Amino acid sequence: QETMRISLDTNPSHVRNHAIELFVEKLEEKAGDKLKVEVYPSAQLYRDRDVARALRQGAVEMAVPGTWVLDGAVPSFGLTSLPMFYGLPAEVTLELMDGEIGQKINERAEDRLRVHVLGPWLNLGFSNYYATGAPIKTHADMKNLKIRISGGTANAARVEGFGGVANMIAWPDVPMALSSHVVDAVSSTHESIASAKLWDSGLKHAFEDRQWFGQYVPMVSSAFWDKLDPELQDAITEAWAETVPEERRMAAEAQDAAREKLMSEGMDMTTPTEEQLAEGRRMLMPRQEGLVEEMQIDDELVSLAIEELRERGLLD
Amino acid sequence: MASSTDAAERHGAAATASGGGGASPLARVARAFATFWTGLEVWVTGTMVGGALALVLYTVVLRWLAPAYAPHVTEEVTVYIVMWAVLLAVGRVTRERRHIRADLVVGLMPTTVQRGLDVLANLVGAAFAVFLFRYGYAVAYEAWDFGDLSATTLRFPLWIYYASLPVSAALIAIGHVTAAIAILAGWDAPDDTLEDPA
Amino acid sequence: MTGALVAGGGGLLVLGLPIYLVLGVTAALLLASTGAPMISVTQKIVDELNSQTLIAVPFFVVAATFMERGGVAKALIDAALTWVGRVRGGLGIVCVIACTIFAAMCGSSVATALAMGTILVPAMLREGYARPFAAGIVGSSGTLGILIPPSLAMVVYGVLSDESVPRLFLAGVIPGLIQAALISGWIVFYARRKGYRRSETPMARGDFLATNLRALPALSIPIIVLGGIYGGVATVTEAAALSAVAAILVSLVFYRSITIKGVIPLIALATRNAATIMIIIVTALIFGHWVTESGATAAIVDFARQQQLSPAAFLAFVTVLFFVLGMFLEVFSVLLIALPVLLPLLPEFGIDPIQFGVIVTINMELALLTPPVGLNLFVLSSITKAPMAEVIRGIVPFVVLIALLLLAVMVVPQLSLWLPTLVLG
Ligand code: NA
Ligand code: NA
Repeated sequence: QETMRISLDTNPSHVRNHAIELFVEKLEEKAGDKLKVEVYPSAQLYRDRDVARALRQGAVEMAVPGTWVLDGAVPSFGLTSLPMFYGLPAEVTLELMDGEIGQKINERAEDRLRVHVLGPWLNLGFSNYYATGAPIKTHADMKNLKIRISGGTANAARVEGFGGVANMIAWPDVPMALSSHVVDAVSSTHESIASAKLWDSGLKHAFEDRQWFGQYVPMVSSAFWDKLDPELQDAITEAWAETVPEERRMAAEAQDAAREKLMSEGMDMTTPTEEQLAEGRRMLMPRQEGLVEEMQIDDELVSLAIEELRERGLLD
Repeated sequence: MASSTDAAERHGAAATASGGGGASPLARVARAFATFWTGLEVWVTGTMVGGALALVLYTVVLRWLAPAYAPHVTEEVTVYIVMWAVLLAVGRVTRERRHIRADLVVGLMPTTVQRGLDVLANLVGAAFAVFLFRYGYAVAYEAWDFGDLSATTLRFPLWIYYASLPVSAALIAIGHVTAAIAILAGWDAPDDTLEDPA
Repeated sequence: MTGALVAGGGGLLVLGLPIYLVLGVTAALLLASTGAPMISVTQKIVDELNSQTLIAVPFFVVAATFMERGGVAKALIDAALTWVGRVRGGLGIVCVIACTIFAAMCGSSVATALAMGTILVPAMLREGYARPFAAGIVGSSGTLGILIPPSLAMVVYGVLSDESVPRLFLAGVIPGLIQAALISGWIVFYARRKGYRRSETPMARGDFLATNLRALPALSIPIIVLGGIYGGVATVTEAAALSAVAAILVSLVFYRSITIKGVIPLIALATRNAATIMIIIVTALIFGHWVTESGATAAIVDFARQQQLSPAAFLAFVTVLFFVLGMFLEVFSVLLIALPVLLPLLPEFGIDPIQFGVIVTINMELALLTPPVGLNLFVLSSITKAPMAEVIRGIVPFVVLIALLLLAVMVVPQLSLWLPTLVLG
């Protein structure tokens, strides 16, 4: 009997953890006694920041880290955080990442991290801006705002593109930094803001500008995958494939529920129009080339994505 | 009372002077080298941590007065610098026999047994440090080989940070061996009274 | 196999091996026995150190070292003694107050004990305090670092439980003040019983004024740091660095017992002292990683769950569990190991998660003080150069006091819930 440990750094209540529960259920049906699966939530084993290396070294069998923690080891994971994806509907990101481009990124990941990517990625949701003081009603309101980002080259460029000041502050310092106004706003998702109850730290206004769409990549360490018998490999792949559509529904519901929760706690939502978002995208696009170079994202993939977006009339 | 400046400067000498009588040329060279080495370590670690402090001050002041010019890599850089310095300093901790231990039981044993155990502890420590060096090197090499960067604005080559571990491990290994020899030779641990006015 | 290795680790500890070696060697062997690749052990060490929260430790130690060496601390303590010098044990109370104020700047108990110990233990020894007593005062008041906001333990609790960090912070204030009062009360009682000296004659008005004036520049350090945090200039982590910078400048400019040339060597000295503790913290975290992988905690909690416990019995069980884990592990390890399995059970027992956060935090204060792995014990042993046995002896009465506080917080939810409800609704 093989043991497969799955490392997650979100809490049991998080949609990614719910999805993994679902996956484990399906997998146990298919694999029976041949595989024992253990889920470790809340970064008990590894923080997502560090989990890619743990997979590469064979220290853990499976993880589902977000694309944003992976772009240091596999630069192309930064693709969807580029300015051209700013403000686009989720479907666009999904079509591209489920298709040829996503496939190519997975290949690079398999090579660089010595992992096997199980299939389509899970959804988290859009990053937006959340402010304490004055509301952000238009992009112009972001001028000179001190905005907390979690890191990320593209995140900083996006803030600066609208005239804001990017501040990298570790998550543990964020509640205090908000309530004492070290920063005026944060970039995050509805669900993260709601689960940390950040209205208690003074967040009052959301600007739903759909900066980019966060996704989680299912990875199994090659050291483990390669020694599994093909039947077991198939069972895992199938269980994953069945989990993905359900997870994407759950993720959308979770973000909606979080949005409701934020509003019931008194947060006001500003949802920019498609025209405003397209204008925002135009403002950011001049920074894209520099970002691609700085992050060393594969030019081939960038060109492919640009082509796809032009075909859809989403890019000039 | 010696001023802290004197204390810190004389520290290297104190570290070895307590080695006692031996005035053979070899011992003198060794002593001189130890003094030089500790002095070098003091300056390197002190400058690194001092530099990190200055960087944080600079960032906080700028963010307050001219936010647009405040660097946003400070948080990450300071961690790399300070942790490098801290790991380097563990070598000095080892050489000066300052590792904290639970001496509840050992304290009750005869002095000769205590000394024997102390030597043993340092040999185990040396072995562990060799282990840390071997696999610490592997960590740094892998990060270099795969070109791992931090997933932040800085895109910092992680091997530079990871290299702190094998370097520190080498210093710890040397520290444990030095300590073992010093205990066998009956030399006292480097005296700290010059530094701690208490 | 596992049992033999754990026993072996205990043996190493008894033989007086450095704590970092006991933890590191045992953890590496245990992980090797589970088939973990050894490169992941060293990877974990550098990854754990790559932490914004740990960096506060060396920064605060630099601040404390300059305050001690640079005459800043002496000026402050002299001034404080003009106020409480006529009380027996007055300096001990100064220590408690100093720790309480420091705790309002610093989220770590280890850093609080290390910084305040560096400053106050020498002063207490000069005043003729018994070494174990001095160690007990600083060790226990130092634990306030995680009970008085800001608190790293509460941030971790908040992240793991999806609870509001400001609410948790506020919940710790009153229990923290009660703890300070309990410790002060004990100090006065003990000092009286032991006939500790006090200044017999009231101080001349001129001396009183001069001494307090001399302390004014020193007072600017906490003011700068507290103002920085609560005035929105700096994050909690940055404040640690600011305190160091302020201490360096104030010692150089006002008290002048340090020269420019002495700055770098003194920073190096502080770094070395911080390193002594930090190497233990990381090896303890590696050891904790093995405990997590072993799954033992989850099994124990699962067993307890099947026993149909009453809420009170559940809290008692939790306390015992935390106490035992806290004996052997570092605070963050305990939280990471225990909370994900315990938190889902709270609704079942009708326990408020904010109150539970305070209960957990006080348990972690105890963990810092209990052997064999108690970081505040190590800190005090390192500062006082006393054998561990002496430090432990000194700390026992204070452990009893904190245990009483824990009991009070369990029985009276309002102690933790009243303030956050008042402020945040
Ligand atoms: Na605190
Ligand atoms: Na303990």
